[in-house]
Amino acid sequence: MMKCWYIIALFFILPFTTSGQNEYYFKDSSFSTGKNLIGGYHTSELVQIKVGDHLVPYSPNQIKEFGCKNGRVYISKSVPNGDSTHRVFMERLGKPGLTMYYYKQGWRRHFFIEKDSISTFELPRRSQQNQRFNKQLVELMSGCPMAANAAKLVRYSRNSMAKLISRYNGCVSKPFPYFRYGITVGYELVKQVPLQQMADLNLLNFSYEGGFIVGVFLDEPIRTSDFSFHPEAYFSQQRISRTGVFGNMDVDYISTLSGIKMPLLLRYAYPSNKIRPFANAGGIFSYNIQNINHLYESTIINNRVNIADLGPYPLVDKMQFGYSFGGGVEYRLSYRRSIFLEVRYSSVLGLAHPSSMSDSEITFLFEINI
Amino acid sequence: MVQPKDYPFVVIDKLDVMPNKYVAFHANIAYKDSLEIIDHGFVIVDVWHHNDPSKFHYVSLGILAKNLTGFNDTIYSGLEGGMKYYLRAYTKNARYTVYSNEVFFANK
Repeated sequence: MMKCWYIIALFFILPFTTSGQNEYYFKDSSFSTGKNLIGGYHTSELVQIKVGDHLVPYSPNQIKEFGCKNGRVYISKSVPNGDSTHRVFMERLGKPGLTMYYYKQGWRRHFFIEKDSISTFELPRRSQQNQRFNKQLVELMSGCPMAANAAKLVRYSRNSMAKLISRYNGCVSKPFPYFRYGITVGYELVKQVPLQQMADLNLLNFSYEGGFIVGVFLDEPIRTSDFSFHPEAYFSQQRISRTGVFGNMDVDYISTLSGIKMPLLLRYAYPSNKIRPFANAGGIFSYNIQNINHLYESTIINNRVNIADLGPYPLVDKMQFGYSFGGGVEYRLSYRRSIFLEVRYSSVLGLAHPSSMSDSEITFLFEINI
Repeated sequence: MVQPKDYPFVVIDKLDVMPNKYVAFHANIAYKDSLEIIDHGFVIVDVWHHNDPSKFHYVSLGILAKNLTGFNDTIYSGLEGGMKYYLRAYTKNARYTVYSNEVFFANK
């Protein structure tokens, strides 16, 4: 169990690792480079530069360009401000080829496009003709059909735009990460596993029993990478019946469970074009709306059968929590639509009563985004 | 839902008690074998005589129709106010008499 959690934790940490680079800045006609030159805090209006042991704030009128250790480059550029102009630091997204500049003022994001170092123009979320930014990007990127398709999916956010520009400049033929949601259907095999304290249940031979599931999913790319947060919520129903015969005694376990299961997964999808293999892992939470469980003992003596209900202790908890992992393939029907086939293993345990049954689940899933 | 057996498997799955007015129950025959149920009904005893079979009060409801997988009944009279009772349903075929799980209720 611990090993499983360790692997899942590692899976979560991997996409957030970054590599270090030297920092630099241009001031007047001088160029300085080194480690820890740029302070951690900078905005579109100022950057802190280390001078001696102190961090000194500089404005876009004083610094022409600076680069941070995470590889991001900021250029001082003038933008319209009423009838005049003023300078701001803009992050450069993509070069050479089509270059995009980005800065954020308050909550408002600004993107500027520079093509072949000739003209720079702002790309508003909606143009004055009420045209969405995606449409403008599609026209701009018509020379690379893959990027033009990606431009239909891009978000008005820094990470999404940066990814799009790099895809366009290399005319890279890879699936573009974007937010998706859709329908999940599947078949679930559940095996209940009694814990040691429940002696009568341990007499029974539990095996996998099946039931259909139906639900919805979301898939939100993490920092516009091939990793995504993939939560699901699906309805599942199980009817389980087990019998054991021990001399003149029959033991019957009958369980009817129906409820909502919510896996919260981290998914990695290999960025191939038509067929994308993927793997996911994470936690799963189950809420059993209907939770009827009985354990009966029937004693047969001289053609007389006495049935005893060994309840009413809770055999299965209303709320269960566990881990889940699986893998499958995504088949891309178009630039926007895909179907997903997956096999997943999950294990859940009761939250409130540690002595309750645990579940092992093997789920065969079919998903389509809409 | 219950795995096949060679006797009709009967359990009380619903009990509705309105003290001093009525007690209603439903018995579910979770597995019914091919033999006809020649008698069905319930057994009731008060809490003081739970271990004395001679005090058990049997109520027969007769032959059970072949298409039925359960039965219910309501007791309107004969229960003492403030007393606690045990109730079981039963089914009988040519080979076995089966007594369901026991349910307990207070008539107050």
